[in-house]
Amino acid sequence: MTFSLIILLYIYYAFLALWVIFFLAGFYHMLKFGFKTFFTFLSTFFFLVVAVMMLSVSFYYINQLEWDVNIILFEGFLGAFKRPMPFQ
Amino acid sequence: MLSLNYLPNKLPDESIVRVVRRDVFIIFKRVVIFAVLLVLPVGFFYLMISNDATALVGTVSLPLITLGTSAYYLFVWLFFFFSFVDYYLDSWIITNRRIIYIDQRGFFSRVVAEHKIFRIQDVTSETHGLIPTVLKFGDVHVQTAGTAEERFSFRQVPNPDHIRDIIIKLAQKNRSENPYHEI
Repeated sequence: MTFSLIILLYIYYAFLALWVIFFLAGFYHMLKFGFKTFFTFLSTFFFLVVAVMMLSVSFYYINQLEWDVNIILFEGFLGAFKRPMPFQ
Repeated sequence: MLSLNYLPNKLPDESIVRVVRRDVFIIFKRVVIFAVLLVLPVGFFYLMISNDATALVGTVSLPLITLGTSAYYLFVWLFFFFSFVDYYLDSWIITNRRIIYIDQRGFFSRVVAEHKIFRIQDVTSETHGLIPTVLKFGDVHVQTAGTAEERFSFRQVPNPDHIRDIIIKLAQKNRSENPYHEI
């Protein structure tokens, strides 16, 4: 039985979509209901910047991985932890 | 956004005396908890690498670790953001005419209540525990007359005794200036 590693990436993207929705909800609440002060803008900006940095670092490492790999299960399961042989 | 210069339903000659939020220690506690959560994976990776470094080069293990770590950190950051929003959007605005209480109860759930100063009958301040006593934060309970919610509270606010004094003085001044309670 095999499955493509990219399925994990799609699951991650689904989580990311939900995450973005919730983050935007928090962002909306800060801008709509927060007091019109410098600290409100500063704190909202801080959370946004760190979130963008986290996403950037995540995508940097995700882009370095090879996702079009088929994983063969039940080869003693340890097959999943082996490096793929060339031309396999 | 809420501007302190344009209060909702502003009364004549109304001015803001104090804007109160929960004590900084409350958000500091949450910062410490989330800092620990952010550092936890580092210890976990150290243990994992010291036992078996091949996990970082496996065809499935490395992507799983990458995605898992990313999801974990994003999740923790989101919850810290939620926690901060919950702290920051709760506030009590004391004016010379009323007390406006804003309670953000999670997302898309918000309670805004206002109580006329002249209706205040009794104000009590409470401080319980070692840390609240040392850091001087606690609760202030305000008893009003003739309202649906007769008693409302300032929770975990700094200098509750001082806030109690402010409210009592405002109530006394309000009653002496306006004995017929027209506003």
